[in-house]
Amino acid sequence: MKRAFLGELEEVVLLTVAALQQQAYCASITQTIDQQMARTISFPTVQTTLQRLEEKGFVSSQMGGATAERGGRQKRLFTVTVAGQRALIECRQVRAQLWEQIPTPILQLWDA
Amino acid sequence: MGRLTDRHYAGPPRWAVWLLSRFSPPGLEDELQGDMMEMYTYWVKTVGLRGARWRYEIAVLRLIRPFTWPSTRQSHDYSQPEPHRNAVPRRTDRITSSLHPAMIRNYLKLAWRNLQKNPMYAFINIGGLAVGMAAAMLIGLWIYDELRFNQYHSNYDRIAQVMQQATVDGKVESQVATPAIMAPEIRARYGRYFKYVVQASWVGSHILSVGNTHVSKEGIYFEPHGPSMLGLRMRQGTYTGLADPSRLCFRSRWRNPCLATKARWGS
Repeated sequence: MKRAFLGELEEVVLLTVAALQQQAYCASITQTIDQQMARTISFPTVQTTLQRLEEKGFVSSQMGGATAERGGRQKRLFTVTVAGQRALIECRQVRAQLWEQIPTPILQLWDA
Repeated sequence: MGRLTDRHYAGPPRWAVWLLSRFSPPGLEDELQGDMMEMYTYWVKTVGLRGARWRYEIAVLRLIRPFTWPSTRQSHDYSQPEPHRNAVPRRTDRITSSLHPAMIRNYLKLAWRNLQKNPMYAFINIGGLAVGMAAAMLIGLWIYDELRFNQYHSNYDRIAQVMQQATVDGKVESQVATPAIMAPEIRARYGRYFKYVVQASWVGSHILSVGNTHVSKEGIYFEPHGPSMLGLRMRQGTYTGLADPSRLCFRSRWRNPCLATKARWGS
């Protein structure tokens, strides 16, 4: 089966969209990555990544939720599509496979 | 836009706000401005006012798309049932631009085919352009040369040559030859206006002799302050070298180690 390719940044952004659920829009995603991954990421980068994910069909978006703190402007809310879910699960499985191949004594040595 | 008197303005830079409102990617104006407002508040909290402004500006510059316009026609696909009311058309449909890579490929292809189809016109056009550009470059080189004429001496803009004017048979004539008494006279009367007043001889051929070696060279006699007035760039020696009448100063391109150390005016 041909795997849908997910870049590292795309994976992080997609995971964040999944984690934030109803509150996933570009600004909140940027802030979450900034705080939780301890990784400075610029807003335009996240915006471009989201556009690319949407083009690939991993997320879908709709408008909604204007609040006062954003000057009454609408948000574009993102949700993970079925294709996105599959890509994420697959990503985790591939990694899990590799983790399992590391011999147990070595893992104990690593203290992991 | 920005009022200079408003010193306590703590919002994002106004020019950036304006740029974002004017040149957002088509269809994304609303959400981007809202998102950027939230991001600005977040940045002010995390990195301070200055950092926030800086990040806001950079982000806006990366977000704007000044060369895209919203397409006038929406693509309608009636094969699918009517989409959800809130659904927004796909972003890829919204952006058309004459700078799109596909369009640029198209321009190049068209240009190439036209050149092949009309070789004579192509030759005339390209040849004419080449000749024109060559002429423009030559004129450029010429101007470049003219603008640098006579600027070797570091004081070139404050050096003047004294000329003598005489009326001979009712005709006024000017010439650079002046009597020897001219220099002391100018020094005495107008010396306070000038740093140096220096006299020189005509350029003439002189013989340099060291032992049995005799060389004929063009040169002038110059009063001691000549080199410092002209601001000559000295490879060796000092500006005061000419104070001793038996010394001479010569250009570095003329290298003759024997003469360079021992040369004296011959005649």
